[in-house]
Amino acid sequence: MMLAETILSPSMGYLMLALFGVLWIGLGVWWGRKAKSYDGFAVAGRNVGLALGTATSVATWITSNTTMLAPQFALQLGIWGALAYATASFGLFAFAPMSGRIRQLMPQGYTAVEFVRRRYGQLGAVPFLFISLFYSLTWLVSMSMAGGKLLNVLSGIPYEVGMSVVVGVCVLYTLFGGMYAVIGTDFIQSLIILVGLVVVAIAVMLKVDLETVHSTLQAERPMLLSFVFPAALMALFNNMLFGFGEIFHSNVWWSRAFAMREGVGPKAYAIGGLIWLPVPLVAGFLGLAAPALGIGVSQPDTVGPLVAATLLGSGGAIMVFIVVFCSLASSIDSLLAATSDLIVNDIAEPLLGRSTVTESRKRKMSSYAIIGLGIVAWCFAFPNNGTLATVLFFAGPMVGSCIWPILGGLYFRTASPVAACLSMTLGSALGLVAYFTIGWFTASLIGAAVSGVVFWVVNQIHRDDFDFASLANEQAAYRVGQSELHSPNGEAATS
Amino acid sequence: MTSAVVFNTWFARSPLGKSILCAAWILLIVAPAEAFSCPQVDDSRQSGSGGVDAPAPQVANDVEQGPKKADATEIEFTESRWDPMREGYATLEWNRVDGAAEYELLDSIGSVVYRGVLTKAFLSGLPDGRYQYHVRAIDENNQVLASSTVAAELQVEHWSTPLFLSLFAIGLVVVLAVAAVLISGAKLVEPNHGAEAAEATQS
Amino acid sequence: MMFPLWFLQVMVIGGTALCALGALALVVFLLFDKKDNQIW
Repeated sequence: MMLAETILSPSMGYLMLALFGVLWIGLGVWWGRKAKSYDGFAVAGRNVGLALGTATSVATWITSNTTMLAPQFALQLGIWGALAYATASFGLFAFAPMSGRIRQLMPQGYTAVEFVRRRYGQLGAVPFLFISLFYSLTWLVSMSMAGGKLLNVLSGIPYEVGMSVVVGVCVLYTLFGGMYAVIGTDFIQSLIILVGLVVVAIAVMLKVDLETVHSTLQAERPMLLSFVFPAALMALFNNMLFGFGEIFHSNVWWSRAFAMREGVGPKAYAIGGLIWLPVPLVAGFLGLAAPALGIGVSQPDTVGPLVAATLLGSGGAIMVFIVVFCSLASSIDSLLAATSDLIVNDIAEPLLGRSTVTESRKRKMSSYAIIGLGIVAWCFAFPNNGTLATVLFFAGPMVGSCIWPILGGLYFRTASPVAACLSMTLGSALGLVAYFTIGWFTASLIGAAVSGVVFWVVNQIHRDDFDFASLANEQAAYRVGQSELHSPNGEAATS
Repeated sequence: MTSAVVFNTWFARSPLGKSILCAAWILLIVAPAEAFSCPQVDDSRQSGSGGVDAPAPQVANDVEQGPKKADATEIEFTESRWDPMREGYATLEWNRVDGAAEYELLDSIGSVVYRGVLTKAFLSGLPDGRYQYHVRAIDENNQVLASSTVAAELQVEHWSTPLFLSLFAIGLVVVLAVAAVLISGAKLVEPNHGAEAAEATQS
Repeated sequence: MMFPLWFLQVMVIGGTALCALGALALVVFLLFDKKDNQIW
């Protein structure tokens, strides 16, 4: 049918982009009325309820990869591939109790790096900040590039234009609306994505029964159904650990823990994980069904949209476009917001001196940080350099090595800064070595394994005795100091 | 000290300056990271979130080569000899043929494994073994316009059992350890355990 | 050894149903939060 051409015409693509762009920016401006203070901007007033909390967990974890890559993964690695992808939800389940602990320990906290700095001092904060920034920036650039590429594949809009529009729209509505806009749009986006997937899946099942899908795979691509598929089995735990590492360390998830109302976090993350779990399974199914539908597969990464468009015509194509846009935006905005928090809270504020920085100044700096991040992402994404995307892979062992310092730091007072520092450093280093010498399917695994062993061993030698209560007390004292700085018009003399 | 000086200049006062400073700071951090060379080992792809390590289709190297300079009336594969494949999938590519409405990829027993308009086919799910493929161009009347003379030969050799079993086992152990630490930690700090549990902590 | 047909059926039909339920749950939560004026 429309295999050689894009599934949507450029003019239609531009129209959809313009429509959603204006809509999302409008929402950003509207919700931005609540985001005037730094607390409002960074953590949405710390009062987000269950509905929005759950939706934001789901939507943020659904990236364009979930909708476009899952079908490819299933076509490459079969049922195990789809199952392996779905296990990324375990990270959300694991973070559920952690989010409650985080909010309890630091009721006035803002970022993950802040916790690590208070818990482990500079020994822990320096490697952790480096890893956090590396991960967020490479992810931001990679999502921006994905945006340009996907819009081009779907509708023929030139890469540079598509990428610029996606980045621009996300920067603008995050700029105006902060965490409110990010979480609010997440709710809409998660509904769109879930409904879109259900519609396409039902369309597929109406067209071809599952028995035919199964028998076609058995005849044409038997390993996809195999119980013993070596590459898939190796990828299984590697991906799970990558997922744990991503969620445990990233400020994207910590900022949400701070933003949710007390008691909401654990429920929101657990339910969010449950809602996210079937998404890669259904998306993967679209890939697995393509052979049975008689669709010639040339490029596995576009098989999802191809199936939707083939079955549902231009309506399906439009829906795919919207779903892809939503999944891109829901991740890029979270990254922008969370990384700007890191820059303001953990780089700028310590540099400038905590006593001179007021809430309103932090609010202003957040805006500049978001603009700056948008510019940097745009600059790196613009050349569309394929090898740049590969740099993201290095994040696997790096974030994997953060699992133990975070877990240990949150729950065990004996976890020491030396252990944290060494485990992150050695885990990242050896994980990267494994990546280059053994293969992609080992990087996060080795990173996490080495980090765990080092953390435990070093902790036997260097033990700490941390007072968790100090995390909350320090902040209380700091806040008192802050309020003393405020003159009637909210500006301190030094700014 | 230096930061105070810098911040009191134009950078500190103008919005543009502040944005530039932010960007420069980030670049300082990122530039060393970008100095890493791209991995040669394999075409692997990881997604940012959704935590997925995904190997990309093995087409990256071939695309750089470009299609062979065959006549537009002949059809040949761009790459017909491959290193042994460890994951059982590959993308076969061939040149365009004038007047072709469709292309068909046939395996060694003559069954059609791909039929479509694009000049590439993604094969996957192949068990261990050797495979041969031919491609032909078809016009609107179902006449064969051209057929490849040189077959594409693939050898699939999945990752060895000791390797994948040991990595699977290590992975299982590490994941179980994460779960165990998380559960024991959460139990330890539960409110009803109270201060005694916190005092008794020796990890 | 292969994944049997019933596994595929459970995975796909169950997955689709869960997605639909998930969307529904989000809407229900929103309505509950709205009633208590506790959306955010």
